Amino acid sequence: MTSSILLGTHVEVSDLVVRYGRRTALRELDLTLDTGVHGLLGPNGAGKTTLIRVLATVASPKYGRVSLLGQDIRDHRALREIRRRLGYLPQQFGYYPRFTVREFVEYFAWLKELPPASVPAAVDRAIERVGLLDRADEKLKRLSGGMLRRVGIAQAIVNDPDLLLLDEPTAGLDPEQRVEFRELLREIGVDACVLVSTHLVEDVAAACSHVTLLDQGRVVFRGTPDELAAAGDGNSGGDAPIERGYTAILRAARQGAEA
Amino acid sequence: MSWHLPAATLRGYLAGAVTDPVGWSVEAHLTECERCRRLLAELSTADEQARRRLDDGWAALAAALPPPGAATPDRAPAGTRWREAWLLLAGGPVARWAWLLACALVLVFAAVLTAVETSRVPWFGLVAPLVPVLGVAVSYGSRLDAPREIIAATPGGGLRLLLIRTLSVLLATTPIALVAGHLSGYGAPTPWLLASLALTLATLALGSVIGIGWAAAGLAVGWVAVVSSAFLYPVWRQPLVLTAEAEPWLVAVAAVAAVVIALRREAFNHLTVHSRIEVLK
Repeated sequence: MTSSILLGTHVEVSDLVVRYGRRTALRELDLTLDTGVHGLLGPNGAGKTTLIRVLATVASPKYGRVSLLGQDIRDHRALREIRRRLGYLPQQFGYYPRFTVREFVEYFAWLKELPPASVPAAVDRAIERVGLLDRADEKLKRLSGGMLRRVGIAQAIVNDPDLLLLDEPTAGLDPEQRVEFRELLREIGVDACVLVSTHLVEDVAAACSHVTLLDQGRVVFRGTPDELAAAGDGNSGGDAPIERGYTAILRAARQGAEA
Repeated sequence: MSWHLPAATLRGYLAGAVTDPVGWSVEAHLTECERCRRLLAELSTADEQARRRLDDGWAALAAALPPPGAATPDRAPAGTRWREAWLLLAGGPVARWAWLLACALVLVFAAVLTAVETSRVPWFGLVAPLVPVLGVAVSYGSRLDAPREIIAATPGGGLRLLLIRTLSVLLATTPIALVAGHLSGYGAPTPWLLASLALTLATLALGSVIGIGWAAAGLAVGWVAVVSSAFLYPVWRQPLVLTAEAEPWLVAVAAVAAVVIALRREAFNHLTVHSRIEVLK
């Protein structure tokens, strides 16, 4: 793809506030992300999905500035440009059951406005990268949950995105597929900014170069997986070091919020 | 080429001892420079280890290739605009038999009522323009369009997809309506056809402000109210809005709605899904 080379940050968010009715999902959130695989961790309701939806340009922030791939999302012309270079897999994604794998991925290649001549090769390459080429002509209604998840990943990467947003992508994948999937993430993360939300701490430890931990709509930790593991102490619960770090930081953040 | 790679760098590259960025620059230079390619070839034939690695590499590559004549999986169809239009249409609910059948049943039912019923209610004229309005409402951004969350994040999922879906709804329902209307003995089709067009475009125009679903619901209620208001005046045989006199007005409504859609086209970039989190299932 002949996408322009990006100088500067892929994601730049400042003072982001998102509200659903009276509930505040994200409060004054600041975040910058560059190339690499970034893990987004946090308990249920921390605002992970909301943040990913804002970055996918699907949910609109109440206040704050969101700049993706160097451009402000409020500018309509820039928005089109940004969306062409975006890949997004929602947590629960719907599909057309009578489409084949190939048709479904192709559908999004067209919606992402790929040049017509490059569509067939891009579609096959995306399907190959998720290991489904032998099932490419199977109807989606005949696929298992793990395979559907991989189809979802294929549509997200069909345009070789510069910003790839994946909300709980490993749900439904078996251990072997998860290992392959992490490999794919690392490969994409060399040139692109990949943000993966997950509740599986071991995914983060294995695949991510950076971790962002959200709690109650705020960023409470940013660093490498090793730094997160180092934050743990003897009193925090969890089996692996990184889990202990996770619980220690959450506990500290909550005590700080109460004080 | 005004500069060349030092032999030491090339040896390092051959041995796999350079860092990734250096390796990339070496490769970028090699694609451009024949002299350095030749030097690399000389170095690699002289170096026993490098030669073995190269041979192993080729052998591994040959082993990974499918045997000649083996069935290769079918490739995706050629990327043409026709293929694009076909796929975008096939994604919409128009392509589902259940949806088409529902539209046909409603229209046939209205036609039968018109043919049998002796009261003054113009059943067919009342119902026919509502079918495409409701068709558009279910085919764009509704719960029936399962991948709408992903579509909302694409550049082509805005007004363009909405217009394709709207056109497909009109193209699918209008022939059925024409046949049903003709068989029922309902009068000239022009007034209700124009009403269909005006109401559908008005749905999109109003939808750019309040969302397609609410716009369709509001206009459907409004349409029923306008048609039934005729019964307050016993003199009229036909609601005014379904007569030839209303035709210029219906055309005007359609034209105004089209202008509003064009002016507010950017609003459709954010219409596919509500910004609230929806709980699916």
